Amino acid sequence: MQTYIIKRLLFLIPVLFVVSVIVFSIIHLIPGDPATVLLGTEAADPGLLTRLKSSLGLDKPLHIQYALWLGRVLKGDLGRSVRTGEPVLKLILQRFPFTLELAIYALFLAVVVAIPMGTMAATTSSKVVDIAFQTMTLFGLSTPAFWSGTMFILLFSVHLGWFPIVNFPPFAAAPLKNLQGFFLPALTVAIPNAAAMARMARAAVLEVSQQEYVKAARAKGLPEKIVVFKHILKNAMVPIITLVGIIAGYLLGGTIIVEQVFAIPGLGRLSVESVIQRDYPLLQAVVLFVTVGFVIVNLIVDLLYVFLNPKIRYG
Amino acid sequence: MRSNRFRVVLGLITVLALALLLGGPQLQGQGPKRGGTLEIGITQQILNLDPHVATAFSSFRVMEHIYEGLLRYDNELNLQPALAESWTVSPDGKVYTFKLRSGVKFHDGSTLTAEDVKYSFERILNPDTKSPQRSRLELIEQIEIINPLEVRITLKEPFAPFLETMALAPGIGIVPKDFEAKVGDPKVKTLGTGPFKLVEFGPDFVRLARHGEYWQEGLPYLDGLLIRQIPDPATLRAALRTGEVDLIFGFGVDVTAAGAFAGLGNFEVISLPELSYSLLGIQNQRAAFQDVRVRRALSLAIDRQQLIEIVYFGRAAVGGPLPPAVAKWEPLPPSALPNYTPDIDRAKQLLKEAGHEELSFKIMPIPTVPDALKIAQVIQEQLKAVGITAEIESVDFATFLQRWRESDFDTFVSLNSGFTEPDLHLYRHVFSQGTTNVFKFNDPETDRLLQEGRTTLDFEKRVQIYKELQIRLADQVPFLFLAYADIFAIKRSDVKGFALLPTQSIVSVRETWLDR
Repeated sequence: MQTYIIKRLLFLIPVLFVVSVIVFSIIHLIPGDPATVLLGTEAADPGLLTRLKSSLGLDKPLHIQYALWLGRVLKGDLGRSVRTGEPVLKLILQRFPFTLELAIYALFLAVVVAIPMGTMAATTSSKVVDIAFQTMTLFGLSTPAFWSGTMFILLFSVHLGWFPIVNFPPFAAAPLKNLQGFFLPALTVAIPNAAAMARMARAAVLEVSQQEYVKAARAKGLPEKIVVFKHILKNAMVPIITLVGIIAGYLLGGTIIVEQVFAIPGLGRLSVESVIQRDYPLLQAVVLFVTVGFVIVNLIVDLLYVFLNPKIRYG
Repeated sequence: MRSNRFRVVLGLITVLALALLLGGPQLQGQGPKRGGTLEIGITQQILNLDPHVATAFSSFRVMEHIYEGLLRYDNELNLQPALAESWTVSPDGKVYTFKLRSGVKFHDGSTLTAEDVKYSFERILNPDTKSPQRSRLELIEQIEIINPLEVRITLKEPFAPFLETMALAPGIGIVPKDFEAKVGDPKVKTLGTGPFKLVEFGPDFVRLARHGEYWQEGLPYLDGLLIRQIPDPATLRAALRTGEVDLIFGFGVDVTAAGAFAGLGNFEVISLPELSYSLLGIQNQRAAFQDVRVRRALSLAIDRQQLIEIVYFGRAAVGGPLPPAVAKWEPLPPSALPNYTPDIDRAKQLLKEAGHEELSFKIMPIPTVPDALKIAQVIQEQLKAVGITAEIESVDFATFLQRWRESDFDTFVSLNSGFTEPDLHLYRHVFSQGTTNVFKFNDPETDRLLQEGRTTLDFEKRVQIYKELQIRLADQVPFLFLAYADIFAIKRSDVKGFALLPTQSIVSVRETWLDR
């Protein structure tokens, strides 16, 4: 097990290397550069641009720029943002808590609703419940966040006044206010993901229900509750957890649209801003950070399989 | 004894009650209340707070409370003394002597001297600062310190808008000597003389606090200022509705937003004509556009009034070369400008004469200005009537900037910031060597008028020169001045003493107070 984890973590190194090369190439292939963006439409004076470019090291050949960047990263220096001049790590760590909390909150809401819903839909014999389930999840999946988010704000914040709109105090300082402030964005993120999870849960539970051992459990007269929770759900959890893991990985990269609508200064907005402004060091660092997060979440998911299904072993 | 005391107390209560009844309301209405924090919402990201380097609109809206210039504009855009108490100009218009206000304190408690002024201008002029403001001060030949409160600036040649330039804070703002050594990184740390000082620069907000030793007695009224970015315009409006911010303005606060708040009791909509203008930039060196007849045909084919109705719901003025809002420079009405009255037949005829009956080209709208795409779409439709096929080319911001800078476009739609003074308003865009003449416009007559305009000191003569220039520009069509739109700010009714300037500046918050 330990060797497996170490192996997986070592595998991060080539992944990060490849990702950094790809991001570096793509962002340099598209037109525009940070110096041009810094000057905006205020001055088209070419001398000014040349000086700015050379001060940012943008006048060097691409492979040299990459080598210099890599050299600094290996020494633990992710560089400074071109736009604000601040260390990129500081900017990322400033924003990561918002993204992390939003991800956890949304996942929690999604899981709490989706798994019981999916299980119920799979085990019910009522056509009406099943159709209602299908309709609701379809609706959840197809509602875009920019619409539902705005509607939630209008309904729950403006008209009903239940939730603040742009108030995100740190959890440690004011836990209740914090949970209240994050509720609408978390709900907006949770809805499409809950719909996906619920559908997955329904399918998985249905599939497991067909297994011989479930029939055996029922045949031996076990109460339905025990059949569902102990025998079906535990085994159905493997594909559900996989999906939850993938969703968690995505959410940790930041939810751009929801962050935009709810004015949350998270990683998603930071990455979009860094692309728009061609803030190369910042973009590189954000992508690496998100990659590490994604790989670690996946590792955790893989380890969870062991607990759910004793047949899975990592050597 | 007891009843006596009772009587005294009763008497006191009566007097107090009377005072409250009679004097109370009067006292309350008697002027600004102190304290409180004004919370302002904008859609754009606040990036860089170095006054001499930053270019973003949002940065300016923060820095203008921190840094001041020698002069300033009042709410009616008249020049007023700021850090300079008075000044004299030599008869040849080349030597300016500024007498500084005494006892002006920076936020660190140090006192403003002539050395700081010299240092500030030299910092802007130093190529290593890479300041986009540099070209504004390039005519400075020498800066001399006469005494700690007097500084003399000698220009290479007379430059009529020099005093106006001195009011372009925070871009031409005064920082203390050895600024960078003192603050560390001026992009995120500040040190100015303004009414507010920086307290916190967060990921999406800036918190400012009252400068206790501000030179203008009693100002500011507010204890603090919080400017936060709410990127989505709908959320921005909702936050004002729920009272989470007190004031919103800038991109995203437009005619539609104003309409949404117009009927609501607790809010006030402020709107006024802007100095900035939307334009259709034309690359004058492209084969078809080298011919002035084609450029004139474009101007005749585009119905600016219709464009204003569609894009701005009528809340804009048809734009000539000078902003209609600044009457003293006598901006000419569209009817007095050549090629401004839409005329499809004449446009077609001009295109035919020029041999470009089947003209087709691309329009590149700037992605950061929400109306630019709509403008491009309206123009695309209007040009069909004269047989021109225009294709809209959407690019991202960095791509736009690079292509703008390299004049790699047929046409583009964007917004040019405007100024009260005609030289500042026009020179850098239309002078053949102008720093933002990406249009590659080159007209010796325009150059001559611009040069004459900036070296002539007599106001009346200048008005005549610029009248001639307006007609010349409308005739030569370096690019199309389209519209000067109205700008909006929406605030809660208990925010008092606030004014939006036609430059979109909100420096008036130093006189703003909260009636709470």
